[in-house]
Amino acid sequence: MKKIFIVLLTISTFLSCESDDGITYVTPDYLSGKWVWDQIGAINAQNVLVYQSYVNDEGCEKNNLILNNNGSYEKNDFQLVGSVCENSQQLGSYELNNNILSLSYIDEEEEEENQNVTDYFTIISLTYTEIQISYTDKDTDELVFLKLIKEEE
Amino acid sequence: MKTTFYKSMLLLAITVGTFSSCVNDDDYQTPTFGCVDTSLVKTKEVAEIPATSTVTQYTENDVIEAYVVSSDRGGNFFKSISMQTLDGSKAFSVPVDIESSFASYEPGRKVFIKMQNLYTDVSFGGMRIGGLFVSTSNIPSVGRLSRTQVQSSIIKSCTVVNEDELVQTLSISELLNDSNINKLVELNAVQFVEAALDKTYYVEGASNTVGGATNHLLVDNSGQNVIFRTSSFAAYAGKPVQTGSGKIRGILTRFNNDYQFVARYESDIKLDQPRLAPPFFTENFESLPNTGNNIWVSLPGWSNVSMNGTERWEARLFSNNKYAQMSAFGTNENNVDARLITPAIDLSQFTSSFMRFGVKTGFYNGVGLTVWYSTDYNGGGTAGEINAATWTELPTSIASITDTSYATNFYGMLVDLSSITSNNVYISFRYQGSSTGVTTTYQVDNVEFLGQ
Repeated sequence: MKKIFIVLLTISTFLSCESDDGITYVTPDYLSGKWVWDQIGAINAQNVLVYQSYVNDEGCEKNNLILNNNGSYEKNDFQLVGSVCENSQQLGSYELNNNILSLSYIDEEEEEENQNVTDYFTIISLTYTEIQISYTDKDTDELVFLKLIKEEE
Repeated sequence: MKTTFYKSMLLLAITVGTFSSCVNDDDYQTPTFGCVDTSLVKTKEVAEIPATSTVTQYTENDVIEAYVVSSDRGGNFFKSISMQTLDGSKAFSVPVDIESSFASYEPGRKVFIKMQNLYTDVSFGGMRIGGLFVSTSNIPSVGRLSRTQVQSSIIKSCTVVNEDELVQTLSISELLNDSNINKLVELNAVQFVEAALDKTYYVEGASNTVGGATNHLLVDNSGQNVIFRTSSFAAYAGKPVQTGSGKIRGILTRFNNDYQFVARYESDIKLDQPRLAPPFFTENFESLPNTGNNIWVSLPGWSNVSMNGTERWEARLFSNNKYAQMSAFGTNENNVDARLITPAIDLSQFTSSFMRFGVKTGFYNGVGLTVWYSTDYNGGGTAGEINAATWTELPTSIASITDTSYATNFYGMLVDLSSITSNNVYISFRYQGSSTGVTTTYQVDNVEFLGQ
């Protein structure tokens, strides 16, 4: 009788309802690093995505996005102002939710209640060395595609 | 004592095992017990969500509400869920990277879709909501949502409505419209064409098997047809096609220019009535003895009359096919009015009846053909007798045929005669033109009457 009981217990233990949802595992951190603007793309009239090399203002360093593994980021946007390259830098925290990369920062140029801003980027592809992202340009309402290359430290 | 203890434990174990065993609930109509409902509320109607042929991102934090109508339980749908509004006014599909999605998103299930950062487009006429996909040839489009994206964006509610509240009953001609893509539709009084009758739903290697699925044709008593598509993965793929007529429930899809009606499971197909009657009157003009310029159509019971001059409908031959042809070109008549009138047709015993015929145009320079009916014409075949009768014009889509050179095939025209219940119905093909005005050439063939 005891044996039967143990057998039953054993069976019920191993045949219990399975749920895959709870599985957690360590994912390699593809995201963190310094990502440098390499190509910029748009959808043309034939509905084809066309990339071209990203060229910054003459004499300016290419834009980059530094994603730190502590969740903070630094976005460096270099622009020629007069004869000087200026960096309009954005600092904030990032989060990855499925394939949506969100960058949250405080925009002090906005009204006080609107200062917390989150920009969303859809990750289309991601490897150790290249990330392809897309976002909607707020001015044109059109999709912009970017290919960024990871710069070795 | 010990024995008693183990016995009761055993009993307990069995009892617990029985009531707590894994449930694979096949009865998806009933509401789920213990369902925790979402606090989401819709902020936008589906109709307010923009979608164009170019993929676009939805950036606002909005929620829409829709009801699942497709199901991959039967294997005919794969990694795509069709959804519509409760009133059936709008529908779309959500591509998902999930198999057996019916376990969570079954027909009738109300879902909320968190639109922010999802993408929309229109593909082959159908709206899609999903993720962003860029093909290897750099074509961006709406792509499948991953399982985790589905879980975070397609939120199921605890509401499941009976799908009878979602289904719309349409005729095939009403069905064939982009606005019906992804909607749950029931076709009534349809049947498979004869070519499909000795086949299975899926036929490996057949000429009508494309892309892993077989396209059979469904017809109704108006002669309209629609592709009925069955995947090799459908649970009923190997079963013989039902031979009767009746109802079929399914989802409209489109590939290139072909509308394809897709059932979800075999129980959607209910062809339990006798087959529809074939046309009870046909005229293909092949019995005309001679053809050519100024050789008038002359058939028993038919009238072929020039109301104001001499030009009438001619018997013509092209590529081994005979037909009736009429043009005002070169007639030197400025008020051509030629009537080609069928024999008396008895429509008194039908609740629904149709005439169908084929038409082509050549040298088009204006509409010259209309279709009329009379129930008091005596069939006499003179202008006086035709003028003495009452004629009413029937709506047709002839005016949409404007080819200046003849099409390869005749365009199928369909005229609903259901409202006419006389046993003495004459149908007149009326050509009006002028050698100095409309001279469009019209060719008419395969006049058929169907009734049910």
